[in-house]
Amino acid sequence: MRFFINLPKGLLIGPLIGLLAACSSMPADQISDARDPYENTNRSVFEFNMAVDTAVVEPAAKGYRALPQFMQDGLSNHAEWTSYPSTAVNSVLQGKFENAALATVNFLVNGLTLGFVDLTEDEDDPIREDFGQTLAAWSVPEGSYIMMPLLGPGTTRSHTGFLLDAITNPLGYSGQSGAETIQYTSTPVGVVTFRGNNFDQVNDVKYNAADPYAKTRSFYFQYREGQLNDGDRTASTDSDDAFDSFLSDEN
Amino acid sequence: MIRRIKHSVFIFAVMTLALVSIGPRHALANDRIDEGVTLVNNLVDRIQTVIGDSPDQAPDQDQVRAETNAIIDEFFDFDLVARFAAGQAWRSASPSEKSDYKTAFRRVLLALAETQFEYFRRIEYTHQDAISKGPKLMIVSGMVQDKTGEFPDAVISWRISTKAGKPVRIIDLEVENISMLITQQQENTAIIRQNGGSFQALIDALNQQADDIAAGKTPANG
Repeated sequence: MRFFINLPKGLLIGPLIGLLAACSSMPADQISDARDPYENTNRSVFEFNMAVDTAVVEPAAKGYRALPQFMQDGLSNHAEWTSYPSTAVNSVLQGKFENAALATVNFLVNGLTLGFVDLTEDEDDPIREDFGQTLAAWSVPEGSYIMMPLLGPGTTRSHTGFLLDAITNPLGYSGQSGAETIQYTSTPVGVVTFRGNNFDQVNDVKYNAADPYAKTRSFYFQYREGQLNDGDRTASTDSDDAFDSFLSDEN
Repeated sequence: MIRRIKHSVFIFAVMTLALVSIGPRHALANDRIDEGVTLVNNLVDRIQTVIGDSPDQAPDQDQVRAETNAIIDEFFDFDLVARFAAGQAWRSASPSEKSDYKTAFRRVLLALAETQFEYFRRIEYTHQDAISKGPKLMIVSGMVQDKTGEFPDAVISWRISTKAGKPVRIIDLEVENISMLITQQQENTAIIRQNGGSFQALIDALNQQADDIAAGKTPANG
């Protein structure tokens, strides 16, 4: 039963991934990034998302920023708190048991306030883990870059992970209607708090970039690589390789 | 027995040679790392001096622009940064296109620096770490704290060129693992590809971007 309650989000996303993946890819000489074979379609979806941002998300984020700081913190904490069950599940699936325990403890303790107050403020925060990262840890290929309507940038793997996160989120299996409400509202709350907390940065890309689509795509891949490396700066990144290759070619 | 002794002597000789050859390189790398850390600390001090501490202190835009220009030349390898940001198209660009592109690229950097002026004033930088990324690169990391407390702390990393025989110079800034220069390169590549491989299209886009930033195209913040 709970599985089917979780399905609507999946029913929406699954066919969209298939539909976008089925869109005709561009000739190789017109593709600006090899990871983005559906660039024309993705650019159209990006324009749609920017229109939604202008009409809905940006005004909502402005409203969020107008709230007193303690209320902003509360909403941010709540959005983070709703991600802990998924982090706990995926940490276990990746063998990161300490992180799983940390996420579970944080979820239970802060659950006393539905996550609005961070009662574990002085403790280490768990590193967010999602099913897309689990699939990466299981060596599932990244797939193509796909800009999803409303959901934003991702790859075939990360969007599939998002779908699996929705299905496997323990909140959906709690049997409590309140928990289901929290699960359904977590995405819009998360979007508005993220947009509000990164207001100037997002606006800088949206209004100041020469090509906001390309800049967003670049940000996405680098940010995601940082997540996959758990922010470890000693790990070799694509950026390091690009600079190393450039400096070697110079000789 | 003699064969075993010969074998041991051989291994000892090889290890000694290896240590001799590795030793000076490590010493050199450590020197370069110290130079990189000093470069970043000096840059932060210089920026603090330029912007001043008083929020009421109105900046002289011409002076800020002149100082920013000087900072770019003194602390950054602008030539390398510009070439890297142009991507593969740099090789096929004409000399006049390369020159126009560098001018446009510098205009964008200066315009962006001016929009960040107020942000620079409210942040505090604390050095954290420095690591070598091979013989030609190193990364200096630090924590940026917003003195007003509005924004959360952020880790920033300066990617520094440590090529032998050349002074250490900053070539990139990473904020929370996102490289500004890689982003610029990928954006520039997309502009060129979207315009049928025209390098001039990139120059036009950069000039337009500099104009838009200078005109304050970004809506007022909420």
